[in-house]
Amino acid sequence: MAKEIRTERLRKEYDADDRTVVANDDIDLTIEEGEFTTIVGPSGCGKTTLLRMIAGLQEPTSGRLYCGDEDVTDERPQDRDISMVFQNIALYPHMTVRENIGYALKIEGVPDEERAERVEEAAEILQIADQLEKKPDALSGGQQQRVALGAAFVKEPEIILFDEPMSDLDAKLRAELRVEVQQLHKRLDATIVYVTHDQTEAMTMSDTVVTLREGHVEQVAPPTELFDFPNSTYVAEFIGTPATNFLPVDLQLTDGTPTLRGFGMEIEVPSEELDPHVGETVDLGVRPQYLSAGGGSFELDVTIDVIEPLGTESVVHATRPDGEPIDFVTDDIAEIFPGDTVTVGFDEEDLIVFGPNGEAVVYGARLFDSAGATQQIN
Amino acid sequence: MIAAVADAVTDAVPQRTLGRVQRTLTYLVILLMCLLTAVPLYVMLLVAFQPTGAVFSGGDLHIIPQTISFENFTELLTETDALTYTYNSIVVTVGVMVLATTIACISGYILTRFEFRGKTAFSRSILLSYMFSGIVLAVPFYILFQSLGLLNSHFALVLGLTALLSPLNIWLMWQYFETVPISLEERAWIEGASRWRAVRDVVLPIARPGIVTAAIFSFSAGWNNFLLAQIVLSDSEMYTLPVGAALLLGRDAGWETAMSVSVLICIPPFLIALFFQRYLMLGINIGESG
Repeated sequence: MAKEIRTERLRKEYDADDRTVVANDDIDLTIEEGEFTTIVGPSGCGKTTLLRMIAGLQEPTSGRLYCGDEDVTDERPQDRDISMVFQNIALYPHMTVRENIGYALKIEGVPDEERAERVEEAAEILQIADQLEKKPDALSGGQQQRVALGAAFVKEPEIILFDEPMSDLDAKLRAELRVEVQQLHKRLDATIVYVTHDQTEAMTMSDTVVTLREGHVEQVAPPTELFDFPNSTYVAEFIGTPATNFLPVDLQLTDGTPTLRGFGMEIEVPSEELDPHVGETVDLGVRPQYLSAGGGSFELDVTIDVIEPLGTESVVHATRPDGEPIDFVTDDIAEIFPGDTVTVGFDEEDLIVFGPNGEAVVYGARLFDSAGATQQIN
Repeated sequence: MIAAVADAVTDAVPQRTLGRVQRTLTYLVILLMCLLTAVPLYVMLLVAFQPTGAVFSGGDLHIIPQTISFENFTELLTETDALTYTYNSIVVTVGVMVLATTIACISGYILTRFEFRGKTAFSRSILLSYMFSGIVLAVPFYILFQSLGLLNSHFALVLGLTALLSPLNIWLMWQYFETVPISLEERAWIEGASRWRAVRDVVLPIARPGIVTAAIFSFSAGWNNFLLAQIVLSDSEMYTLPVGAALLLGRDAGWETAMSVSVLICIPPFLIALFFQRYLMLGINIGESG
C-alpha cells in the first residue's frame, strides 16, 4: 500500500567548521500517496538531505515526519517500509545479481522458493533474467542500474526513494531508464520520491515537482504548471532549457495603467498586482520557446552568436541591445547566421512579470486571453 | 645535464638496443637480489639435510650435497623439545592472529564509521606507537605482566604481541574499511538488516582481503617473534620455536640441528608467501596509499 509522506517543519542543521549550516529549513511538504514526486534543485539545495531524512538515514534537528498517519520521525531505517536506489547504485559487489535483488527478502525471512520466484519475476520485468548468476562488476552500467531497481521494488515497499540514480549514466541510457522507471511506477503501488538536479528528469517523469532552494521549498507544482507559471525567477531559470530570458524594464503608469518600458517596447499590463511596484525596475520574463524570430506583438533586435541545432528545432544564443545574452528556440534556421541581427518577438500572454525580489507578480497567460498562447513544453 | 646526456643517448642509440640494455640491467639486478636471498637459504637447507658431522668432516662444504639425510630432523624431534616449541608457537601464533585481527577489525570499523571526540588524536597516536621498537616496550611489558601475575604464560605473550602489532593492523583495517562505501551499509539497513547483520553480510565479506592481510601480519609477528617471547617466557617448557632454536644453538647442539630447526621455522612463512602473495601485495599497497 502506497503511503502519503508528510513533513512538519522538518529541519536539518549541520555544524561545519564554526558555523551552522541549515540544509533543510523548516520544510512543510505533503507528498501524495502513490504519486511520483521529484525533488529538484542545484547541488547543495538540501534535496538529498531531505530524502535521507525520509529514509531514516539522517536524523532531523527538529520537526516531524509522517508516513501515512504514523509518526516515523524516530524510527530506524530498518523499521520503515521503504526502498532506496542510491546515487552510486550500491550493489553488493560480493553477491550475485540474484542475491543482490533478493537480499531484502532474505532478511525479511521469505522462504527460499518464494524468494527465487519473486527475484526471477523482477529480473524478467527488468530484462536481466539471464544475468542472475553474475556478479555486479560483470554487468554494464545500465544493467547494474536495473539490478538496483529490482532490489528496490522486489520487496514491494510503500515508498521508494531515488537519490540521483542516473547521474553517472550517459544520456541515451538515462532516457531509456526514465521510461522504465515510469513504467515501474505504473505497475507498483508505491509512493515514489525522486531526487535529481536534472530538471529534464524532473519534468519528464513526475506527477509533482518540488523545487528546492537553499533548504526552502520554492514551488510545488505539476511539471506543466512549473513551466508556465513559475513563482519566482529562481524556478523560471532552473526549470526548462534554455533558461527563461529576463529583461529588466521600468514599470510606470500610463493613463493609470501599469506599463513596462524598455528595449524600445511599451507593454501595458493592466493588473493591480503591479501597483506596489510602480516606479521600480522589474524583470520581464519570456521563455525562449515563446520568443519567435521575426514576429510578435512586442519586438526587439538581437545579434546572433551561436546556433545549436537539436534536430527538429534549434536553440539560438544571441545578444540583446544592452549586451546581455538572450536565447530563443526556433525550428527555422535556414535564414539565420551568426553575426546577423534579427528581430524577435513575443505576445503579451507569453510574458511573466517578476518583482524586484524575484517573485512572480503577473502571468501574461492568466491576465490576458490565453486562447492564443502556445502550451508547448520542452 | 643528465637529461641532456640521456637525450643524446636516446638520439644516438636505436630504441631496440636501448630496450635490450634496460632489460639486461633489470634482470641483472633481480638476479643479484635473488642470490643475496637464496644463498643463505640454500646453505641452511644444505646443512640441515646432511648427516651430522658431514659439514665439518673435510673442513669444507660441498655446494652440491653428496648425500641427503633426515638424520638431523629425527634427532631434533626425538632428542630435543622441538615438538613442544612448535606446539607453543602454534598456540601463540593462532592466539595473536585471532586477537589482533579481531581488535583491528573492530577498531578499524569504529574509526571508519563513527565520529568521536579525540578521533584525530587517537589516529595520530596509532601511528606514533608504531614507531616504537619492541625493545623499548620490553621492560614495561615485563613489569606490567609481572604485576598482573601473567609472566611465563602464552596469554601474556599473545597480549604483548597484539599490542605491538595493533597499530599497523588497525591502520590497515581502517584504510580498508574506508574503501567500503557507506551506501552499501545504508542500503542494507534500509533493506532491514541490523547494524551487526550489515557488517557481517556486507562489510566483512568485502573487506576480506584486508582481514586476510591483517591475519598474515599477525601470523608473521606471532610466529617469528623472539624478543618478547624471551622476556615473557622463563620456563623452557613454554618456549616458542625461535626462543627454543636459540637455546639449541646456545647449548652443545651442532649446526646441523640449528639449521634443521631453522628449516622448521621457515616452512609456514614459506607456504603463506606462496599461497597468499596477493594479500601481501595488498598490504603493501594499502600501506602506501594510507
